[in-house]
Amino acid sequence: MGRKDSLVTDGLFFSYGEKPAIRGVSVEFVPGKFIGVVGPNGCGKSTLLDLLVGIKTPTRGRVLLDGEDVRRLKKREVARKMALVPQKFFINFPFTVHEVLLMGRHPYIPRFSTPSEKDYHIVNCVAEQFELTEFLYSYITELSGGEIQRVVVARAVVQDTPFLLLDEATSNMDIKHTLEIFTGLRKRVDNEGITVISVMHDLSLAAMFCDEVVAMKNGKIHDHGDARKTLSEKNINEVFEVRARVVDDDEGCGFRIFFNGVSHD
Amino acid sequence: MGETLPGVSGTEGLRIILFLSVALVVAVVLSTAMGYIRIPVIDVIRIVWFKITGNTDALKQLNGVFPYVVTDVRLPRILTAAIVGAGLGMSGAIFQGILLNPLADPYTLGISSGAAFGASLALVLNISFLSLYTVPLFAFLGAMLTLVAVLSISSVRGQMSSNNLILAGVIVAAILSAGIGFLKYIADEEVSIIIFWLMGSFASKTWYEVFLTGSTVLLGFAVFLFYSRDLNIISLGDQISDSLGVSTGRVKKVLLVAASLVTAVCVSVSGIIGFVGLIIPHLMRFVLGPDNQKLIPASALGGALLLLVADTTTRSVLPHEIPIGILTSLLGGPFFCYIFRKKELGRIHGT
Repeated sequence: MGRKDSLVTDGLFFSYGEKPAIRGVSVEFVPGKFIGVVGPNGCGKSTLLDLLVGIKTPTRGRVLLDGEDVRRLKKREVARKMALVPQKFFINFPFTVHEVLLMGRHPYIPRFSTPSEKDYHIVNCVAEQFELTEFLYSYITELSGGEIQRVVVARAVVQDTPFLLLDEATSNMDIKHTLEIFTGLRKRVDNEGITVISVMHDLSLAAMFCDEVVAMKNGKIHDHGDARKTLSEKNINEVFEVRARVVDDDEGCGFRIFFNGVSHD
Repeated sequence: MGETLPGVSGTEGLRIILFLSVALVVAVVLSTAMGYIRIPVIDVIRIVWFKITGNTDALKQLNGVFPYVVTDVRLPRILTAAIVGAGLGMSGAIFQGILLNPLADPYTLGISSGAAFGASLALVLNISFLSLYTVPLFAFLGAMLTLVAVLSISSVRGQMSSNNLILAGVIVAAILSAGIGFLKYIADEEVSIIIFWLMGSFASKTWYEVFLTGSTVLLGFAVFLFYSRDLNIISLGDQISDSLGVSTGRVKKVLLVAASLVTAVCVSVSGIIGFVGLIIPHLMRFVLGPDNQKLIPASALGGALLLLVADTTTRSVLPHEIPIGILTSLLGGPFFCYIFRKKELGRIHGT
């Protein structure tokens, strides 16, 4: 609500050794929107998220969070602005779900202090919203893949940041929980004005939930803007090399995408 | 909608740590009373008290040998054993936490092999310019050189992955083992001294060792506790811990070096005592959960108790001293199996 948050990248470049991954990305993420990042495998989507939260250093260019270089800000400060749900998650130690969620409050709890009443309150609210109440004192190591992913997304929500970055957060989830999670995030965008930036493989989901879409290919932005406009038949063909039909949906929300096969068939 | 405060586990954890602390103090007093010369427990307490308060008149009224046996013979050995146990126990917890691997222990990075190689070298070459402290010094240098080698082999462009660290540790340890084998081969008659050193012992330790290990372990403990919450966050993976405001790379390096230093000092004083650093953190994790803020103090106390009990057993219960490394495994192993079974069975029936 009236937050002045802004997130802009300015000519970003990044490479893994000799192999370039991001090749000149300048994009402005409009605050208060649900933004999907789409593109084929290896196009640099995950790398872009890492650069945005400042856990990778660009070889050239800058990420500006509220006008300041994210690499120059204190890590704790950034952690209060942006939360990340990585693609891969693995844990070896039997923390309870409650303990993992509470770790999301780390940037707010001073060293040698214990969590406050408010921290516990937020954890409980989010747990309820993500239907994790019954697992709250189970060991995370004993949950199923989909349940663990729900915990990991919930942990990022507990961090209570104006920007929430997700990297295929629902890849192991069943369709009901996927829809529930995205509906919940959508509500946060609408009601609290947070910005969600979500890497998505499922274009139908992107069509359902996103206001804006960033389409990436070979480490560059192919197109960026309104979801309906960006997810056009032409763009899908150029970015993913598949033939699709995009149809407006009068009953549901937005539009539908039907796939007809690979382009060079 | 009531707030569920997880105070249950919190206070229970503190209670267990308090219990372990009391048990450790009791164990120190009891083991000081035990030995070839039996000393009444009350006299042990009196002697320590009189020594602390500087009451020499009262000391003279006790049996003439007792004060000497307690303060110059037994206490240094007992305290060294407990401190080394604490150092190995908590370093084990740290290594497991940083390497995200419950199978790691203080020796995973080859520190024990480095220490063993250094000690063997001093023994074989008969170097003794520092008299009694030559072997510990060489052991320490060996351990630190190994650490430097492992860290430089495993770091690629300033980043160290757990897998690289473990692999580099295994490789360096293998090379050093071959070196130790060679030294044993050419050692001839000294080979038994090497073997005995390798198996560890607390015999004839002095206050010098108590202060050396004590200050190192205390310093390490402070560093570990300072970063204990960061270590919890690190178990969520580098990406999440970085995005939660933890300087993951720096914290890992600081803890790695601190834990290695503690281990190196312990090993150089006591020889190689296995098992404590691997099993104690596991045992404590079974009981207290993986929260490092509780796990680190509990592992220190648990390690101290195990080594103290083992050392007292070999010193005063058994007819002959046997190497303490053997005894720790014989005492700790079955106990671990018992707890493990109980926990696993409890989980099946409990849910």
